[in-house]
Amino acid sequence: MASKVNIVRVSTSFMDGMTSVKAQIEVSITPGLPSFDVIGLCDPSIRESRGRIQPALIASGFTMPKGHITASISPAYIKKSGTGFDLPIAIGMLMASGQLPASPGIRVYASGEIMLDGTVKGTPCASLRLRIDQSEYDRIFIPSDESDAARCAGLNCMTVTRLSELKDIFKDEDYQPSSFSVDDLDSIDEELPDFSAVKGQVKAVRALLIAAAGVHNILLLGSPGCGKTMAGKILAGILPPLKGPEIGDVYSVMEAAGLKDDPESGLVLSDRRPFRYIYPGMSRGRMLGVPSKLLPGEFALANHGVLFADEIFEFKREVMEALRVPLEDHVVRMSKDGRNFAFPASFVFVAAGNPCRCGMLYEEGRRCTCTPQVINNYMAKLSGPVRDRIDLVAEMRSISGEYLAQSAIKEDKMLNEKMKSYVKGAWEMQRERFNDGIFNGTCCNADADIFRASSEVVEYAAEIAEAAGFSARGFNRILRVGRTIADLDGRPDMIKSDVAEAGIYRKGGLQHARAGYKAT
Amino acid sequence: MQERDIKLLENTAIRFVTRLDYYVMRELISSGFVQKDSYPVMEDFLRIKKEASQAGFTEKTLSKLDDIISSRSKVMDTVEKYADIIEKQRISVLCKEDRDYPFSWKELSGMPPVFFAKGDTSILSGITHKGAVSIVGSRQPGRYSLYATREFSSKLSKKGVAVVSGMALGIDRAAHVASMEVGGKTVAVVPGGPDVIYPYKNADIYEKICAQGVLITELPPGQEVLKQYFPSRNRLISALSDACLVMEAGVYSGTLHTASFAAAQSRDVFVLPNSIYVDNCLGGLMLLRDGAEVLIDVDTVYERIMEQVDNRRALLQGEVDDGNDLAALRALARIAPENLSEEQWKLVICDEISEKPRNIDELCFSLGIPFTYLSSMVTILETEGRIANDQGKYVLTIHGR
Repeated sequence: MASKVNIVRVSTSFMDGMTSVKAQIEVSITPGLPSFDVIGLCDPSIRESRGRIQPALIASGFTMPKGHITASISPAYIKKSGTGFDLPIAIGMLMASGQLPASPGIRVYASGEIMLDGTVKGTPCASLRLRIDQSEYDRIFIPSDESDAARCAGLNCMTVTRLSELKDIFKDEDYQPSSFSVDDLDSIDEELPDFSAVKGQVKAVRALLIAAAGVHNILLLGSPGCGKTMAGKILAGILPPLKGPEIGDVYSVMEAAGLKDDPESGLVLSDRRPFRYIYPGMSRGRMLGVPSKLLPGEFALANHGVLFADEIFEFKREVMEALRVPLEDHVVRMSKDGRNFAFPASFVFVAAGNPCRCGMLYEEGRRCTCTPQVINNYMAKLSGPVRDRIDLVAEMRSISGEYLAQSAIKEDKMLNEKMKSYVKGAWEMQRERFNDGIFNGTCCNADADIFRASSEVVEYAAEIAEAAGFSARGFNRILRVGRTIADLDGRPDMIKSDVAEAGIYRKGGLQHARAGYKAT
Repeated sequence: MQERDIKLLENTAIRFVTRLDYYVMRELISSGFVQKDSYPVMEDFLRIKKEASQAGFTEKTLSKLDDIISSRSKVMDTVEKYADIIEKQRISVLCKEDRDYPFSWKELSGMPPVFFAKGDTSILSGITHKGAVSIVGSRQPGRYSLYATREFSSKLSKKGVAVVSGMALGIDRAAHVASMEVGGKTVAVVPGGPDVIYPYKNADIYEKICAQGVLITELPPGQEVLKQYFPSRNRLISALSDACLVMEAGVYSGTLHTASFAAAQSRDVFVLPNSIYVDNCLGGLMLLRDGAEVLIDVDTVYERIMEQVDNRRALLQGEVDDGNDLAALRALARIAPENLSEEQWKLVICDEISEKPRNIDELCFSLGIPFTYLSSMVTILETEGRIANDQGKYVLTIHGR
């Protein structure tokens, strides 16, 4: 005897790798001995929802429907996990049993974990998971602690804190969604390190400005305590704020990496560019990510921001080599279960290191105790391919009191603001030249026409490269840096002095490493 | 080898082979046969000889002319010998018309018209603007004098003052070494040919001075050291310097010669006060009794030197017209930087670096040029091979000098 089976459909989404996949949950209640099944290639975390939903319903003033309950999750061929299925299953049961009045054919999207007392909680990777097509749904419910993620996804939805709230907001006339977006995000005014921390180091300041303006990779060389880390933070501080989808990109990677919403790990929705710090003792997994868990590492976390590699010469060879892919392709690749995943990793790479083993090479008064051989070997630790991708090299040194006195006269309180506006101007020039998110330092080809470099300028760059014995890429990098210098000046056409200035950052302290130490 | 150098060598050879003295030269000049400040060679003497009958020369001059012409082949051999040594040892020949001919010698009479130098000759022209000090004394000094020598030499060197001495043992050696240790400029005036290492014990600093400083002499290449050359060498030491420091001098010593030359050339003489019980110091103490200045601190000496330098600059101001005078350029760079051409900026940068190796931040501060401009200039200089980056600091290359 075929009878009409009472079936209700509720939609949700889950993470497959790094993409959000739409899932449909069908709930049926048929007469029979009370039972509750969840099927569809679920892992235990989903099946356990049976145990959570029953007490939660009762605690929220609903009743557990009588009869044979089946919740089937499709697509049933993909392995699924996660506790976000709790809320859609519960809504399906309530709709099927008539406890939530719904017009026929209503399309509901829900996601969230339910506690025994009926509280609704968010689940990991919300900002990526919530990237759904909203036009497909009439009702969208998400846990209220996923509202930051909803802002990233730009959802028009209602948040729930407790299951019992559904009674009051489910009806057509009661459903009043609010739209979430990142446009109205308040900028966090944070005390950023000031440029005066590196004052007196004219070359370093200028190099930092160029690095920020054209997204060039930069290497800072100097003795311990001369302000290299500070310089890296300053660079992050003068980058223009994140905008639009970039905010979501940064937030979702932080979520995926398991950062918690507390001051220590710093998961916070903001338009500030990330500043990530790596050091030689850091585990490979934390730096590159853990493929088996698809856990992004520091490289991916630095996307759209700054990656600061401290003591670059002390990094293990394998880690150093791992830097090549992100530096070249701006992604971190992972494979899991035979599938490949790529995390975007486009960042300003700031490397810092001592110029020699004792670190004193650039200090006044010949304080360095290294032999030429030791200096050479030390510099050679930076692998060639990585060195070739560094556009700017700046030497730093601790500033003596005499110098500080001199530079104090020229101190400029508004320096940070000025730098920010220069960088902003240069970014706008580059936006006109390329698409969004592509810069002089990251564009795939330094084309003389696009860069508006006359043949005279190109020949001059070749001359400089020739004289200093650069590789072909080195020549290319001079053009890029030169382009950024022109952008900082707001000039549409490049001139010879742009590439001439660019040459000075290219050689810097690495010269004696390449050409071999020459005693004078 | 250039034609000019050959000509200067020939002139030198004639002077040394035939012992042509100033008496004869003066007569030739006053009679109009030889131009003042010129370097007559064999050809000139042949011409003079032809016309000598009408000139009414004294007998001495006539016999000297014959002498010169008869020793023609010997002169030519000598020129060849000189040229050979000069090429092998990279010695330069300088005359009054050269930029690096010491300005302070031009003001005095009796200074050599031609001299030989081995090393960085730009130090000599640098003295015009930075000043020089001669530090002289005994060959067997006491520890006290040695200590003072090192201290004064290194401190003055650090201030950019060139240290002039005679590359003898003892005080001279200490003065040269201390100056070079702090990267200062040092000038050794030696009593033999530029290729002759004397005393041989100083072979190590001979090499060093030729690499880092400059060694000069009025004596031609291959010329052995002779006793009679010492006093004339001493007159060059004092003439080259703006102040003369006597560190230790015996009663009958060459050091006293230097001091009296210095006084005659109106240079300040400072004497290090020393013990009255040490014989080797009595000469110095006698100088003090005669009114020499007491050497107490570096600042006084430096002030005196700078006074001389300022006087010289004032003198030079009228003569400078090529627009490349560095002191004037440096001043202009500070007052009206926009008026300097690119080439002039390059000169200023090279000059700044020539004092001591500089990192780019220091350059930026001391020159006061915007960094963007400075950096492109530095790259250009580097591309041209005039300066080089050594361990984060810029140094002049051979071509930059």
